[in-house]
This record gives sequence, C-alpha cells and structure tokens, in this order.
Amino acid sequence: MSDNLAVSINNISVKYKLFHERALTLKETVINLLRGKKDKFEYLWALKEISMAIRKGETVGIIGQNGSGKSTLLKVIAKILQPSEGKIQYNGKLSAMIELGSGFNPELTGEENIYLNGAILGLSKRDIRQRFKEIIEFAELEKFIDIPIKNYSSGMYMRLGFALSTAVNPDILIIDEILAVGDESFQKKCFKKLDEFKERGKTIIIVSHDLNSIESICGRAFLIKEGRLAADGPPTEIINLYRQSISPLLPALSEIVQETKSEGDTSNRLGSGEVRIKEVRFYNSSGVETDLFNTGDNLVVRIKYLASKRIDKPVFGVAIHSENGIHINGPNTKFSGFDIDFIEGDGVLEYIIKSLPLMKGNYYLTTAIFDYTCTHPYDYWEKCCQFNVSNVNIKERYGIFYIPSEWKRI
Amino acid sequence: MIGQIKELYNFRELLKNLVIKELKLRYKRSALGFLWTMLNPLMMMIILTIVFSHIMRFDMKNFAIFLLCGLLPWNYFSHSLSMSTMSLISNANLINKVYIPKAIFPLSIIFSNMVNMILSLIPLFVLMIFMGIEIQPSVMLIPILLLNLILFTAGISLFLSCLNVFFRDFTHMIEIIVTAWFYLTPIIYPTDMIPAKYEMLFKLNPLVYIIGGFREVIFYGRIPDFLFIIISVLASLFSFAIGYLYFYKNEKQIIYYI
Repeated sequence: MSDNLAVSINNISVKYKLFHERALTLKETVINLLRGKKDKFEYLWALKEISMAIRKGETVGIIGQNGSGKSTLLKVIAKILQPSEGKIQYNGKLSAMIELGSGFNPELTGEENIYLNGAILGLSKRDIRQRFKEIIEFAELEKFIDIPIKNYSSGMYMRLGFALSTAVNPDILIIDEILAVGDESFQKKCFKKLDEFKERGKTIIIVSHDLNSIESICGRAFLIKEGRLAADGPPTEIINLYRQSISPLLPALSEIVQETKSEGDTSNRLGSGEVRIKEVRFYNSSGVETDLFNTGDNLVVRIKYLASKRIDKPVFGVAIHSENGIHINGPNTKFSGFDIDFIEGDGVLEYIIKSLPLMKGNYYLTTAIFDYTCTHPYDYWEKCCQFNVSNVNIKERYGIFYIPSEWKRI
Repeated sequence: MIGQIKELYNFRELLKNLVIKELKLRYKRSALGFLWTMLNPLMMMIILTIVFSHIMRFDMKNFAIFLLCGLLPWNYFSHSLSMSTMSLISNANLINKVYIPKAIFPLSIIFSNMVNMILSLIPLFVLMIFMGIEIQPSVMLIPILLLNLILFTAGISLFLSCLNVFFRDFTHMIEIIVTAWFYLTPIIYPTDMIPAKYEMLFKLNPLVYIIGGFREVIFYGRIPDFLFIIISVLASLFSFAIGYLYFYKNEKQIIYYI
C-alpha cells in the first residue's frame, strides 16, 4: 500500500447468512440434528467486490439508497465487521462514530463515562486527562460532569458523544449519519470541528442521506448501489447521478396518472392514503387567501393534511406546471434539507415563494406526500389547483419567466 | 495468535476501565459499598455454620474457617461463570458500534471478580486471628493458587461467553451444571468424607485441586504435595488453552449472531 493512501480497500465482499429457520438454542439444534433437519439459510451478498483507495487528507462521502450496503461498508471500514473476502489496509489511527455515545453507561457520571468511553475508543488515561477540559468545554457540560448521565438530556448526551469521538484525534475519522441529529448550533459546531480536521490534513469518511452536507463537505463521493460501487467522482456529479437513479420513479408515477385518466377515470389522485392532503390554498404576503398574483409577489401555498397514523420522515413535494404543460419546478422537503421527523393527525405545511418570478398566465400546482425514499406515494394529487399571474409590476412581456437583469454599455 | 495477545495488550486501558466500571456499578448507591464484598461471604458462612454444626450436627473444629476457605474461591468461580456467559450478549450494542477485541468483556469480569475475591480474603484472616487460629507460612502460596484459579475460570468463561452467543439457552444449563458441581466438590464437606468407592471419580474433578488448594494452605496450613500442584496447574492450563482457542476460532462469527 502506498504511503499517500489512508485507507485502501481491496476487492472486499461481505456475505450474510440469511436464516429462514434457525436453531437459536442448543435444544433446537439437538432436536434438528436428531431429525436430520438442517438450518435453512441462503447467502446474501451485502457487499460485492468493492475496491476504493482513499487518499490521506481526503474527505469522502458514501451515498446510496437504504439497504444499498453503505452502512455495512462503513462497518467494514471501521473494523466492526470482518469482510468475507478481500482486504483493507490502513495508514494511521482510526476512530468511528457509528452511533454517538453507544458505550455510555447511564449509571456512571459524565466524568466516569469520559474515561470509560475514551478507553473504548483507544485513549489512554493520560490522553484523556490531557483532553478532559477540551471535551467538557466542547460538550458544554462543565456543570453536569459529576452527575450520572441517565439524568442528561438527549442533547447533552449527543454533545458528549461527539466531543469524545473527535477528542481521539484520529488520522481517519468515520462518521455515520450522526450529523443529522442535534439542534442547529450543535450542528454548526460539529461542522466547524470537521473543518478543523480537514485543515489538519485528516481523512474523513462520511455516510449520509443529507446530500447537501455531502456536497459541501466532501471532495469526493462514492455511490453504492445493491452492494456494489456504482460510481466514484466529484460529489456534485455523483449526487446528480444518485438523484437521477431514484427520480425516474416520479415520471413513472405521472404516467400511471395518465393511464388511469385514459381509462375514463377523471381522478388525478393516487396513493396509499395513510396521509391525505385535505386542502391546498394560496395566500399573498398580507395573509389574504387569493389565487391572483403579480410577478414579484410573495406566494404562500398552505397544505392542510391529515395523517391517520404516525408517519416517520414524510417528504412533501410540490410542482408547478404552466398551462401548456411545461414543468417549471418541483421542489420537495428532502431536496431542501427540510427534514420532517414524523407527522400524526392534522397539520399544515407552508411552501413559500419569496418573489414570484413567473410571467402572466395560468399555472397548475401539483402536491404530493411521499415516504423518505420518494418511491411510495401516500397521496399524489396532480394539478390540484391553479393560480393566475398578471404582470402589472414589470414591463417585460414575453416568455414565462421573469429574470431580474440589467443592461450595460461598455 | 501473537497478534491477538498484542491487541489485547493495546486495549489494557479499556480492560482496566471496564474492571473499574464493574466494581463501581456493583456498589453504586449501596450504603455499605465495598463492605458488601466482605459481608456477603460472612453472612453465607454464618448461615452454613448454623445449619451444619447446629442442625446437622456436623462435628468439626473451626468449621466456619473451613467453610470460608472453600466458599470464597468457589464463589469467585461460579459468579465469574454466570456473569461472563452473558457478557457478550449484554454488550451487543457496543460490539455492533465500536471495534473492540471481544475477549475484553469476559476478561473484565474475571478481573473485577478477582478484586472482590482478594478483598473478601481480608475478613477471613481477621476471623482466623479472632478465633485464635495460627496463620501458617504456607499462605505465601495463595498468589500462585489465585493465578491458577484465574486461568481455570478464564478458560471456561471464554468458552461459555462465545458459545452462549450461538446457543442462547446455555445460560439455563450453566445454572444446573454449576449447582451440581458445587455439591460434587468438597466445599461444605471435607475430602475424607467421600466414600472410598467414589474416590477415583472425585479425583477427576479439577476443582478438587484448584479450590482444594486454598483449604490446604489456609485451613490446614500445609503445602500440598507435588502431584497435587502439578495436576491443578495442568488443569488450569488445559482449560485456558481450550477456552482461548475456541474463542479466537469463533470470534469473527460473533458479530453475525449477536
């Protein structure tokens, strides 16, 4: 392995035994043995022939859909899981944040936990003593360090976990999805800490669904698909590729809508119905309900919904189409990084356009609620309502889009 | 195998911390704290002494001391066994999240229990002085006996902790086996009470030597004969080798079953 590499992953594969009927106890094993019955299982390749070379000082992101194998890959890199085939080599000390504070013992105090978990992460007592102050300062726990951590709030718990993992001062830091937790100020702090790491030339490997942070932090990204390495390159490119690979599902859906229509059904709605869109209304900047707007106005779409049961991580999306069918935009809460933990019962969500850039005409709004993978529609309501734009504020006349611009003679 | 031992050595800090954690948690929020280590065997001794010398009329001088000499190492052995059997499963969360040599978990129990065991020897000696029993120079052998006991217990503990990941009902079997083993080992009765026709059978029980050694040096104040020592050392080494080999052969599979 060459010296400028931090991690060299060589053709690794991981297979799981997938038991259909497994004897979990000695008693069952003996009975099965006597009956001549064997455990029924098949092999499942969670990862197949993956090779990667991560250079020193690089920050790389690993993305992929749920179940694609990216977390398994991270566990293999973190040495938690032994690959069935292939080999990994490292240059430097490794620290993994698979779950913040996973080794914390609720009965022990913050201080005792720092020493215990520091040791779990491979720190000596002297190392911890040296960094003790830094850890509690970062975690903002100076006052609470001598109480059992079962009395900590979840925020305090996470701060302590993050502070500890970074205090290890590893050469290679592995992070799994954990930046999605915590409030904004904590996240900012974490990102700052990560920047510090980057500046010091450390290698960082991140797995995340948060494509925006991958794009902003990472210098390189890997796309994992069905256990294989599908692509490797600049984050923007890889993320686009990833989005394309999951978005074909959306047009396919509108085709279904078209089909149902052609069969004489006038319905422009489909979905499994756990969440229903009750009503969609437009409001102007002064909060008055209207469907008449001017170019440059504020436009607020208020979506009222009813979730008949608890839905975790729903994704709300809208789309605007012009009268002649041009698809103008299609944002959703996931793309915007506006993650919703869960919804239950009645609720209202607003989609706000600060300065409407559309020119004169009639426009249709489509509203939809999906699950987090954007593959399963709870309610997809195509062209549920329309609004009208007139351009009294500006003097441009042509096209459908108003782009603020100016002229200059040189 | 050298690599594995080296790795364990690198994680010695963690082992130390886990031992401290075990000890702290055991006595956290108990008013008497560490005193329990000493009170527990004393209480047990008082109960057994009353039962055996007053109810069952077991006639023996200084029966209490006789009992403690066997009971303390036995308690160490049986507690370590039942605790380490569960040690990997109860740390499943950690094993799934961080890389740690897994032998750390059963070993931390072996060592924390050893601290308890050594502490509980203190009241034994206090009691002996109190009862006017002379402490013989043979007690100098105790460290060797302890080392022997640790090796023997560690071997079985490593074996069981790993096996219990694959067969979860092993915990229940352990309880039965340990109870039977307790009565089959001369702990509450002296060796010479064993009927002659079963003597050979008893000689096959390694605990007769490993635990019996403590009684020899403390209670009888004599140095066990050479063969006795050789057998107990060989039994411990054998137990440790088997447990260790089994553990390392299956260590990599643990993560898939836990």
